[in-house]
Amino acid sequence: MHLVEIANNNIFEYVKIFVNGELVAKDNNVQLLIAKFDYNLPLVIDIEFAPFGIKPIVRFNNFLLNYWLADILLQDHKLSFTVTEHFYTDYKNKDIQGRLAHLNAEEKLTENVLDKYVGINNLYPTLVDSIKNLITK
Amino acid sequence: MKNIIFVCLPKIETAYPSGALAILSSVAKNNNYTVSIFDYNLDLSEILTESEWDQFDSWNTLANEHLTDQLEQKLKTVFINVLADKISPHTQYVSISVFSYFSNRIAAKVLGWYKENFSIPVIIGGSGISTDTSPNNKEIFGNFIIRQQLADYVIFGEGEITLDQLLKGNANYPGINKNNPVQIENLSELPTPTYEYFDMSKYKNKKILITGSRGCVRSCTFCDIGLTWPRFRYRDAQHIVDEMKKHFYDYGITEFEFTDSLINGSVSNFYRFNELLCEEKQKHPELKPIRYQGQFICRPAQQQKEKNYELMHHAGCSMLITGIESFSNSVRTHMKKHFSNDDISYHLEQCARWGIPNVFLMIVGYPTETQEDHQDNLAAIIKYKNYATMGTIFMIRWGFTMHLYDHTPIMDMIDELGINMDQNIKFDSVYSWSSLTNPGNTLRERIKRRIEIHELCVKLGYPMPRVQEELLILKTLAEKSKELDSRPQRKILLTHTT
Repeated sequence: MHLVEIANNNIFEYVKIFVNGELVAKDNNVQLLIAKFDYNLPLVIDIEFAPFGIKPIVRFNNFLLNYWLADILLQDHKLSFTVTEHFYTDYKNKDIQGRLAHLNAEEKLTENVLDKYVGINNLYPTLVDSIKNLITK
Repeated sequence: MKNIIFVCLPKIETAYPSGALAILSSVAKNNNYTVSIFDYNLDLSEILTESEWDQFDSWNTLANEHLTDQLEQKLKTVFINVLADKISPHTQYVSISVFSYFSNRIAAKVLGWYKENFSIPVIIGGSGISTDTSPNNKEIFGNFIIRQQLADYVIFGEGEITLDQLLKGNANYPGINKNNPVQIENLSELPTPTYEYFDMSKYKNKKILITGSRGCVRSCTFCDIGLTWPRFRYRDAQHIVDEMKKHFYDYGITEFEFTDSLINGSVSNFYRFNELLCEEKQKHPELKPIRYQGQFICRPAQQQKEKNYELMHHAGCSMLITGIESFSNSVRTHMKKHFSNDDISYHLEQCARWGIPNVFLMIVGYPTETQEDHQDNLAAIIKYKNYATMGTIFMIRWGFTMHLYDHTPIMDMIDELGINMDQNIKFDSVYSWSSLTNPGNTLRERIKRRIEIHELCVKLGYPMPRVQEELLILKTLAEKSKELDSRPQRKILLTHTT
């Protein structure tokens, strides 16, 4: 079961949620529309709404989506995104790219900087093994 | 026109200006002083090489005992030359801010250099003043300064009203040269911090610190905040929003970091703050880029309803630093955290729904932590994996394993917990304790659990910053632990301080 939500501070004159081209939910004069559906991945999700030119809140399975990280294409009257089996991983990888973009360009490649500021790629297996040896012998 | 020079000691964040000096600048301005800022912290970060900065930091934070003569000379030269340039015939006071315990060493040095080279009255204050002088010298640092006659005025406790009184000539006000400060009752009466005397172009981030409250509504067993601020007090929500607007319009500041121990200490005031900020953003769309972050306490779900999270989202909450400490109910109950595992799940669910990232702060090997509690930690790491993937758990920090600090409530439970600190691996606190009531929780066991957690978190993709640094400390602890096993009854220190 998947869950898509669209919400706005002001009332939607209309809002429709399509999954793989099929209308799964619609309503008029509401601030929130929720669609529950049980489709297999990948999901192509299109949401049409009025008024035009707004940027609604979108949630997928209870996570508020960042438009850039989720590759949401926003047009005047609709938004679209695709959920594949790699959706969460892709979202995370793009998030990490964003965190890296905040670092100074010359710092990006070093292991130390990735560890210090982003907190990734930091298993340090040799160091871990040496600690294990010390506490087990 | 009278002048006062404020000196900011290292090492604190260099990307944005000191909030303490900004509010003290306002106090001085209200007393008809002109202000000069000497950001010694920032100047050193620019002048020292990376290796010198690291060496200095390691000495200043008590991890290393010695400074090379060459580096000490460089520190001294920068201090004396820059200060000499700032002093004018109008300068009445030089006022030095000691941010924390981890600035005490450089503070002592600076006061010595000052005494050799200058004669204008010197004032010193800040949190570090009320802490121990060093791990092996339990004299309160402010008393040490008075006894050594290193400064003319030592300000204990909060500095705003005390400095105001001193500048008005009332040197007998409580907290001046005597450790009897009066806690400020109404934070809303303090002047708004001013950054007009700072060279804002020197700071990398368009961010400043802001204070919404002081003190804490909890008495967590491992925390010493009660020493600095015995009671919790908060500023009126409107006052905080007004300050944010002022800094936005004056300096274009859009990022605010709260200095509070917890931004939701008063749920109603925090709610009102978010509500007001949302209203301001609606009325003045140019304020929309304003964002804030701060330390947060997870609360029972009924105290922190979904509307609170929704308002935080719309107000621009960009990060919460949340002291979860443990995923075990029983451990947290002993810590007096007052929230359940269900409350953590609810908090994460709400933060996910409203796009609010968290840095989780954790402790491994609390004195009552059993193997079962450790398993609770491992199970939660697996359970909450998706929150790490989607950025709701933006980072998680597991630290160096539980260590015991002086002046924390847990030190009053030593008998109850059967804590033994005879075999003492000491850094800035005691790492090598054991507990008669929980004998399985040895230093080795704590390190073992910490490593298991590290490996699982890396495997599941939890971002964890500064892991190398933490592992190196753990390795040192493991080595010392091995030494202790072969030489019982001896005290082994990671550092020897005077």
